[in-house]
Amino acid sequence: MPKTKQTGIWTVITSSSVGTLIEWYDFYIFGSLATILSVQFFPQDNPTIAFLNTLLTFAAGFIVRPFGALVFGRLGDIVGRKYTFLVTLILMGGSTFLIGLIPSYERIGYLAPALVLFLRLVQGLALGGEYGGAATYVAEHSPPGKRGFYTSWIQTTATLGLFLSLIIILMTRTGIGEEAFREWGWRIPFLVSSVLVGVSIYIRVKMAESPVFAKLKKEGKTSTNPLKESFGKRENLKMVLLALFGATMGQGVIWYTGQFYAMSFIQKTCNIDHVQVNYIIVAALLLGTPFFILFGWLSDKVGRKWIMMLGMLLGVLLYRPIYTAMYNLADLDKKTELVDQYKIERHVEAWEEDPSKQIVTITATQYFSDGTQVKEIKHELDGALHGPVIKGTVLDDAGFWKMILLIFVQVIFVTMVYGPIAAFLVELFPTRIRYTSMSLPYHVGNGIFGGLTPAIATRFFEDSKNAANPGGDPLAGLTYVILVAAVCFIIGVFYLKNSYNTEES
Amino acid sequence: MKAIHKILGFVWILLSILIAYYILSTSVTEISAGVPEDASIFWPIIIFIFLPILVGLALFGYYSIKGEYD
Repeated sequence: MPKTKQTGIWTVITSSSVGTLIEWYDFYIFGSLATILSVQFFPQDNPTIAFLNTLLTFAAGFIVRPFGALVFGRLGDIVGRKYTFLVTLILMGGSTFLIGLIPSYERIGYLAPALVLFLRLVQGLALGGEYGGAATYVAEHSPPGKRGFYTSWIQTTATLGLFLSLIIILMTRTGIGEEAFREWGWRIPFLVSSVLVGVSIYIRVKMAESPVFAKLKKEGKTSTNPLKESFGKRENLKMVLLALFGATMGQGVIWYTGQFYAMSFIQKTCNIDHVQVNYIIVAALLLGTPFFILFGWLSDKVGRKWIMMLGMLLGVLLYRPIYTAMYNLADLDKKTELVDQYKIERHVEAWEEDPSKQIVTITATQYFSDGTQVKEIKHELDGALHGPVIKGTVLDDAGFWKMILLIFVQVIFVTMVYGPIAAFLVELFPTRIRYTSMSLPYHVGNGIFGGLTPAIATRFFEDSKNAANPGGDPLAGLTYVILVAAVCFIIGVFYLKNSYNTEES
Repeated sequence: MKAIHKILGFVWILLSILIAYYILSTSVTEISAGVPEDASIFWPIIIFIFLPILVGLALFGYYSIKGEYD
């Protein structure tokens, strides 16, 4: 393999990572704003169904990722990595920008959710082509002994993309106010994407093709039908299946549980104030992200398998106690309310839409002995309720930091399963079909098993409600995650080798 | 390890059949009952996605029995 100078590899990593980060940001602002989007784009006669439909639209973007993997993986193995990169970035940026322009359900009816779904599918196709290319591109510039370390920088981009989406949402929310954000400000993070994508396209146009692939192409050894070679030949197909069931399936559910499900859980089940939710998730992600690099580096020293398997095992064993602790932190039944401190504040101001009318903001605050507060904010216009009632629990400082710790631990599990996996997948397959072969199990594991985690977990929770337990089992959603990760752990332990090296690697 | 792979191969095939049965029977029950309301949307998507994956799991089990991973 041609060796790349130290400065060259960092340019490669930076240029690949920036574009991938932006694509993750584009993908994740949808999920981060799922609660608001369910109100904007779906009929509100049943808010739970509206939210589930939003989650399914969110999930639709994940479901098509494997198809994107096939389409763009094939393109990347025939034409080249660089060209494919540019196409995926343009598709992702364009669809994200357009989501920000779609009128609400109130204005255009069912055309609204139909357009959202279509653009979400385009996002999913684009992302399906992005990651395999980015990981392959960096890995093909890396020497074997440092492949885990160098590709781990790509592994940070998904979390950093989520982090960036939360930061931009938080800044927009606090900048323009909650009501304005819920009405129209939520569009800003989608529209901002166009600027970020423009920068990424500028960077990527300047990139050179992967030297390994360029050499292969020069020698006339590229595949003419990577799909047939990847999935039509037993020696490759069996490795695709092993990569899925022994690695990416479990990695996908651990990844989404530790980040998206955790966020959804504290927001919807624990009913934590949404601004505090963002701070908690951002803090946990910031603290945990360096561990992607650590475990990627470590996998170069001790092998990929056991780090990934340990991350899965810890998730299987510890998710229930962790989520029980999270739930208890916000469980008001376990707290003592200071009834005499209950406070109602009224704020009257002219209504923006009709200054002759007055809108009343009523904030009711409950105080608890441990410092927890529960705030309920509603607006009245002409004596009638105007807009949604927003209620949220604001944890005290101790509870806030404990919640960060509980999610940080889950992020560590994520870094263990995800840090080494790019190098692991690259090493499983030969160069001529690498982009195609590694992309499919990656996106099935993450896009389908992981991406459907919020929808399936929410469904398990709703199904746990009955006459004897109308509130349901708050931990019911973890059943799916734990079972999938456990099966993947068993397969990984008994079937995976600690290292793989194809002749081109 | 060969023996373990062979035994596990049967386990994966059985698991894929059981999960497929669960998905199909639950979907039929819930869609015909109309409860919950989104059953007619949720289950077709789950079937469309997971049945091919379960075929893949059964194939993985078959390869395992045949010693492809030994």
